[in-house]
Amino acid sequence: MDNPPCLITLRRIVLLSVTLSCLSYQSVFAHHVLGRPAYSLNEDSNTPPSMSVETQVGDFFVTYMVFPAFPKATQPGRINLYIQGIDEGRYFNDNVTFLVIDDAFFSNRQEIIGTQNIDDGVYRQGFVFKENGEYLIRAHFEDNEVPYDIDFPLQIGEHSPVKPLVVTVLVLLFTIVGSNLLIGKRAQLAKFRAYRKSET
Amino acid sequence: MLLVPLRAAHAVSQKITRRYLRPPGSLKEVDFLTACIRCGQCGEVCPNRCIEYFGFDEGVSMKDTPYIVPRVKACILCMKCGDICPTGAIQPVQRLAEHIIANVDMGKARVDENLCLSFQGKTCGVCYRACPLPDIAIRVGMLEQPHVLDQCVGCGLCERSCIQLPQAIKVIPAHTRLG
Amino acid sequence: MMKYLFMRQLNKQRLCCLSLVFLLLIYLPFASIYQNYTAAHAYDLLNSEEKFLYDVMQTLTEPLVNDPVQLDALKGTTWSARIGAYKISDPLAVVSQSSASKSWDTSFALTALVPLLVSLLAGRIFCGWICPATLLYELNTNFALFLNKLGVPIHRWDFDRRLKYAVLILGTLVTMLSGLMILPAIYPPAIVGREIYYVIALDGFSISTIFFVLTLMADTFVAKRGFCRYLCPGGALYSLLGRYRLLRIQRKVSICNDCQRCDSICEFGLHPMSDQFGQECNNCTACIATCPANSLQFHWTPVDQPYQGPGHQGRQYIAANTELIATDARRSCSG
Repeated sequence: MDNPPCLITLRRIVLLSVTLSCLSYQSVFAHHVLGRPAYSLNEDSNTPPSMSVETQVGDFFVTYMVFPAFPKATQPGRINLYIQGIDEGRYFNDNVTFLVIDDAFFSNRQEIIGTQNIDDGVYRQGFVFKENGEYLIRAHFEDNEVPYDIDFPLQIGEHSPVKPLVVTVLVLLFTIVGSNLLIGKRAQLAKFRAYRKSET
Repeated sequence: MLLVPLRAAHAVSQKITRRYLRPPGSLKEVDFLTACIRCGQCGEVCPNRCIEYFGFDEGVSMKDTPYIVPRVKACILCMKCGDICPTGAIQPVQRLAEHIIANVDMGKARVDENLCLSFQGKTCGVCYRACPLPDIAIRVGMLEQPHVLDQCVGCGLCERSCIQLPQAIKVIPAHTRLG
Repeated sequence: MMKYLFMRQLNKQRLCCLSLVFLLLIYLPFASIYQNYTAAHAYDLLNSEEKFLYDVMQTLTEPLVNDPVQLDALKGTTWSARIGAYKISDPLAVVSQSSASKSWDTSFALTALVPLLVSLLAGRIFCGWICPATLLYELNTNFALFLNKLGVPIHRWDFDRRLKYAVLILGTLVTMLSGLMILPAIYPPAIVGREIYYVIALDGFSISTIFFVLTLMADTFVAKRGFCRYLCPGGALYSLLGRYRLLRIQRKVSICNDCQRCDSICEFGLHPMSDQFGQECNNCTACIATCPANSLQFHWTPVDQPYQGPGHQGRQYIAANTELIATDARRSCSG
């Protein structure tokens, strides 16, 4: 099928607003209405505790939730996807195909995990990962012949709490300040010698 | 981090973005982007720490501009950001109800009746109680069913407090409303 | 004599001033977090790290303010700040914003008035005394010398100083045409101020930090203070404003001994020994501090001296004039 001119082709979404809606993983006070929490721990409910990511693409708001919030390898999990139109909030009705892509460097493994119909306003897709790693879940659907491909990040296994960029910068700063302390007063002399050498 | 290809469709500019709000009192999006000097003072003065800053993922034009994600932390309408903004990208608005209603347009809340508990027969009303302008921005009907009114300023406190997952009421940002 | 001692201390005071600005840039995001905790009145809900931050900030600020809300008195970075009721901004911000919006905002322009006047009077003094990137770049220059001692080749090239004026003009033009605010994205003091806030109060550095680190590395391996001298649009703007500055360093040729210490220490590659300061001099007083003869001094004058020749205490002058002195002596001896 030829792509019509006003189309949205590949949409790769970066990490957007990640809301940790998973209340059972930290001691946060939940709102209770009539003494009953709105969510349940059962993954089959409409509203399981999870990590949620939201985005806005083309004509739609797309919300993606993963249960459990921090999935591990060999542990079955569920993706819940909500697609609503921006204008009036109408729910998208057609099939959505889910693919998983390996997000590591130099890797282009991808496979389809399933195609789902809408079920009570939600697209539900189960998954089981064999290995830990960084993955992308791609949701593919078409609205009026306009294809949408939306990628969401999914990390299986432990997060590393330490950020490499922050560590690099701190090490660099430490080195720079440290070398200044070591070179101390001799800096002037070193500059003088360097200047003389560059003159000759 | 994945790079976002900014391919604009034909006549409608399709931006790939997160759903975000600008701080209260902001100029409309087009003017905001050329007035904001990316100084970071609005986030620094925000006592609620709800203002975050875009990185490079949304493109050069958005980089280092302030935004709010109400579901993460909603705006409490303290209006300190408008006072400190040096260029007027965020206009100063007096912290009084009539001034806020007249001058703040972050967006408008919208209820998703498929998700809202009150529309499923369960009586919630949390969003109404969270709203700083109850009966002005939002009213409730039978079973505490919320109805958003025209004067909603889009602060997002309702969205933040919604007990449903995902939230049954969300703010449609001012800059994405078509027409 | 006291005046000379004072002048020689200025360089150390300048480093204190730069460090103070840097420390303020680190303190302010912590203050912002502390104010959030106090506004929430939720000390008991904080975890142990947050409580620690709260306690430290409380100890630091209690002697200064009665109520943490009063800490709003100082906010911002060197790009734009609010001190009390007064907003103060970098003149480059005014240039950038008015080009992007193609309109003139007088009240915003006025916030850059004080920096503008100071630059007209004292030249590129922001670069020498306030810019947070300067502190890092100067430390980096010494780091480069340290690497040099270990055998790593550094500071290989020199380029044309006029390049940064092209960057300023081109940046302004692109801003005007596209409406994109690119100047704050490449201007180191704005980057450093923002990134310090991001790493402390938000969730980490952004890509601008990588850009800044690259400029540090270019400074080490390509050209000493390469970004400041050849690429910084803010530096270009300040240099233009400071072209006819009144506060200048000048050389007293009668006591100069041509030792070249001033030339060697100048971070910007200027030539005080040849009376070449120009609009690029940032009044850092490093040359004053290093001159063994105290021949470099501040003067109030809008133009540099033309070249005065070799220093009169230096070998070249003495050699050239020995004959004359001898001839004079003979003439006066003989009658």
